[in-house]
Parts: sequence; C-alpha cells; structure tokens
Amino acid sequence: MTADALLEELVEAFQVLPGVGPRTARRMAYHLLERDRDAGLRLAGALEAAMRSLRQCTECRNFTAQERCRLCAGDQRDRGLLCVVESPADVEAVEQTGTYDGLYFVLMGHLSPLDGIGPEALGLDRLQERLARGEVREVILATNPTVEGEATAHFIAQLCEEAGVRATRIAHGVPVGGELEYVDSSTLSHAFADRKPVR
Amino acid sequence: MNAVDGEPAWVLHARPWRDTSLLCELFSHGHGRVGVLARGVRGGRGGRRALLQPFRPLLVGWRGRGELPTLGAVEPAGAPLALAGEALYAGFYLNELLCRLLPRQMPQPPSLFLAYRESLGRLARGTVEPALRGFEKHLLEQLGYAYRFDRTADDDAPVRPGGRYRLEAGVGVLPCLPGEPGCSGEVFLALAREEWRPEWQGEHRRILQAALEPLLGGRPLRSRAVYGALRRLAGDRRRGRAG
Repeated sequence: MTADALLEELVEAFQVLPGVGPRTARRMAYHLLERDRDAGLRLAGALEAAMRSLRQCTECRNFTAQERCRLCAGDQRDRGLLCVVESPADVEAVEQTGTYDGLYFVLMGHLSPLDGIGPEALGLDRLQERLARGEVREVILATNPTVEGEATAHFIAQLCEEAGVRATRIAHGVPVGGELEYVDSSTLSHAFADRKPVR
Repeated sequence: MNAVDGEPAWVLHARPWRDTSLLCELFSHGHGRVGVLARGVRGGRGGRRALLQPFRPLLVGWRGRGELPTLGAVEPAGAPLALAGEALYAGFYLNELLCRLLPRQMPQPPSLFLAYRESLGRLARGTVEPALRGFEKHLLEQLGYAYRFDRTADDDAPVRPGGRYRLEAGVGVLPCLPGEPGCSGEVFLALAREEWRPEWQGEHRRILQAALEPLLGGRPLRSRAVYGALRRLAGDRRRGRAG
C-alpha cells in the first residue's frame, strides 16, 4: 500500500467516531503522525484490546472483559435492587452519586417504535427471566424522561407487575441550585405532582 | 434565508445528532413535514429539549434553506396529550405513517393537520381503532387516493349491503368473483360513512392497510412490528392491535 493510501485509510477510520468529519479526522491523523507516534500506538493497542475483549455482561448487559461485570460478580451490592438505565454512561452517573448500592440492568437504548427498536434489542426478554427468578424485590426505573423513555419504563413496570416485583420510577423535579423561574413547565408540573411532605 | 416563526407543529420523531443536537421531524401546519436541526439542546438545561417531544402541541420557528434548517424558538401551544399503553403505540404508528408518506417541505392542506390533532385527541380519550381508521382514510384522500367505498370501480354501481366486494389497491372497490376472498358490502358502506363499529374493526383495518400498502413501497412499518413484539413478550392475548 502506498503512503497516500495508508494516510487516507487512517483519516477514513477516524471518521467512524461520532461528530468527527473529514477535516477533524485529518487533523487527528496529522497530530498523531507529526507529534505523538507513541500515543498513536497506545491508542491502536487500546482500541484493539478493547474491541477484542470487551463484551456485554450476561446479567446487566454493561461492558465487561469477563463473563459477568465487577458489580454483578461481586458480593458488595444488594442483589434485591435493580436499577434499569438506558446506557453505560447512566450507570456511571448513578455510581457517581455514591448513594445506590443495588445492581443495574443496562438497556443500551430505549423503545423506539419509529426506529424499529423493540424489546429484543433492549434485552427485555432477559430482564423478564431475571424477574421470574425471584431474587429482585424492587426495580428502579431510571430511563430518560422522554416520551420513549417513559414508554420503556411503563412497559417494564408491566413486566414487573406480572412477576410480582415492586417497580418504582425515579423522581423528576427541579435541579439542585436551579431557579424555579427557568425550569420548563413539564418538569415543574412533575415536581408539583410528585411533591412530598417536609420532614 | 428562509425564516419561519410561531408555526404550529408537532414533533413526529427526534433522534440524537452529533454530541448535543437533535434531528427532529416536525409536522407543521403550513409547511407539511419539515426536518430541522435542534442545535445544542441535549445535555445541560432542559428548556427546548423538554418541549421537543412527540404528542405535544408546539409553536416553533426555524431558519435556513435546504433540507435541514435550524430550529429556533420553541413554545408550548398546550399540554402534552396523555397517551398510554395501546394509545401511545397507536400514536407512534400515526407518526411513522406521516414520516413515511409525507415528503419533506411539501405543504399539506390544513385539514390533514386538523385530522392529526383530532386523531391524537381520540387516542387520548381511548378510542384507538376509530382514531387510526379515520386518520388512515383521511391521509389516503390527502395523498390523492380518495377511494369511493360506496361505489364499485369497474362500472360505478352502488355497493349493495348484501354483496361481496374486495379492495384493489390503486383501483377501488370491485365485486368478488366466486371463491375470491372479500367482505360484505355492508362493511364497505360503513367505511364510506366512517362508522367504526367494533364488529367490523378487523375488516376495516385490513381494507385500509391494503390501500396504504403500495404507498409504503413494500417496507413494513416498524412501529407495528415493535408493538407486536411487546404484546408477545407481555403475553397479551387480547384481540385488537395498534396499526
């Protein structure tokens, strides 16, 4: 392969990343070639290793190098609590709070009828099996507060009801440090509907 | 630069675009289906993102020429419709029909916009089948397929309640030859009058879907498949379905 072809292949390869177009891809390629070949090789190694060995945890569907992820395989967490989220980034966000000690189930998306994303793509059949095993006593629905996210939560709540498992939905409300005046009306009406007694 | 402000519209579908934007398909009152880029609405403060949801009446503005103008101001034009369960999936089905059948940037008659609004209202009140059939019939008429369901297409004779007929897509109602599958004239006459009785529900659905089929170009509707899969998983054996 000629030098030109190698360069073009690299530029094209960078463009698989979201938000990276031809110009950014070219800048990335030149940066690595001109200034940081070691970092380029590390990137190549890390990519290769991750792509080859990361797969989905058989229990929560999050990414892991083992059969089961660290959280699912460990014994530190409450196995009766299951938090359903849309993406691995959401797991990170909930973990950051440091207040949740149950397990997760990662849907890798939400029900999206217009995109043809249905229950199989979200692993809902596996979630149903898991609920039937009886270990889970509460499912915490933490899907996004969009129409599709709510549809997903609603459907999972139905599966929970059939399995006799309690289902709860995380609250929607006014962000901490926010000002009421700037909160959108749907969030504010949710916050009012789900108000709670002051202790 | 083309600029539109305060245009009544509904979000049909929104999908993530790059890191912080959304690509929204809108159904607008004066411009038909429009694709707009909502820049920088994901992440951070809710504001416009919270409004850019299906089944919520909006007033929107956009700027720019070409296929993908940029979304401007978005204001609510009413409360979101409370669709749940079957009615919600029926709403997704209506949205998919519009996304598939209306070309972008082609103005539609105001009656279609009103019919959409009316149908969502019926869905919210729980009358799912009449809402879907009424909208499908209206949409066919707007797309230039105004079938006469009360007269035959071959010799323009009135459909007899006791006779047997079938719908030939692109042609119209034809009398059944002996042994040909079809349904009674009564069913077609009720369809012409938009009389959606539960006992004719299945037949009306099949007739209108046969009429829509060629317009969908052989690609099945995804929302229908997803709804079917959900029902199978939930073990729901009830009759009647969205779409």
